[in-house]
Amino acid sequence: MKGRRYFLSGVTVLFFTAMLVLTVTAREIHNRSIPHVTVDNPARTAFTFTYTDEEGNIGETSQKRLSIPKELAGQPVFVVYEGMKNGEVRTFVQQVFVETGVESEAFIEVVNGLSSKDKVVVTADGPLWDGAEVYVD
Amino acid sequence: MKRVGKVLFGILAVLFLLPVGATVGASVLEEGRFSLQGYWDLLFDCFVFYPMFWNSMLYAGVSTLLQLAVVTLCAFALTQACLKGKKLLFLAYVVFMMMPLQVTLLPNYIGLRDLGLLNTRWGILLPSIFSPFGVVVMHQYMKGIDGEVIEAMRLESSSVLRIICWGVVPQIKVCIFAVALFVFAESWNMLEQPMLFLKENRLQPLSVLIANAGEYSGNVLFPAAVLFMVPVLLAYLFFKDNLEEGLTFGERF
Repeated sequence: MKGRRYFLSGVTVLFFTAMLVLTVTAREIHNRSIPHVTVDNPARTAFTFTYTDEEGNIGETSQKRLSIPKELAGQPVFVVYEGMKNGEVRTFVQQVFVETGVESEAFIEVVNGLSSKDKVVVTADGPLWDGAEVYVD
Repeated sequence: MKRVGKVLFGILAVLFLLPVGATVGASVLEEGRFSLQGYWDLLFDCFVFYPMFWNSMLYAGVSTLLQLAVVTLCAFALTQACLKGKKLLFLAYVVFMMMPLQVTLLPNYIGLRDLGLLNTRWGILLPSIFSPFGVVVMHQYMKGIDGEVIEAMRLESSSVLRIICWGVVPQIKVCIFAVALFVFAESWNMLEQPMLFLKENRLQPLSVLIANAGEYSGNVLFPAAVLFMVPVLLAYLFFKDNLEEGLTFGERF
């Protein structure tokens, strides 16, 4: 009888302690298990374009265009978006196909596929896939 | 004859335990294989689970304590006080106890709306405090307590609260535990009231998560159901002796 009480007390304490600890730490554990990413808006960078005027003279002009870092060229580009999961707002990534144009030393022009409001994944500490949940540092 | 009874009891026990076993089994299976993925999905990916769990604890714990205080006073008044029409009052309690919950939901809703208590914790706690079940059970138990102790207490003190605390409660301790267990289980399992009276997720108890488990990603339903059973099961195992003794007043007197 007394032994059963001790056993039950132990189980009860263990159960509620576990629930309490998990309440505090579960989100942190979850965040560690998903890719951490850094994001940035596509920058407006000045690109130099050559043109030929009506009289046949070749000139150069500089125009600011939407761009992404050159390192991202040739790689799948991901943008982050917020969506509902399990009753709360979480952050996910979506792969986008970017049409690129001219290049400068550090940037490459975005012709199509991104807008200035998009948040583009610049670095990730793990593999990303379409619809993956991420933690934005 | 005794053997037949044992076999029948065994079959009934298996029938009653089957859904519990199936729930526990399904919680650790995924596509026919042993897997704890469901528990992982629930504990590390479904964070609404925790506030809902503690909400359930709060609702069940607080309403049990408050209801016990109210029930003890009511039962004492109905058995010991010189009240005119107390038999009629007790009959009203019995009638209220027989009423299905759905009958009282709408009046409760209107009352809470008029008091501005919808979508608050009090909207769940207040109606659950005044449940007639505990009064009826405790009234029956209190009828058999030693009146001499109460008389002796009356000579010592004129405070009714003192008489109840020191003269009555020690005599009905077993019944209090039994009623507490029932009230706790009832409050823990409530579903209709929070679904109707509460809008925000942060106020909902765990029973609502289980009812809406389809909305959550991953296989969270069965693990949530298993964890949902644990506190009531622990409470039952703690107080099962009191439960048997507290509800056998018919044999006792």
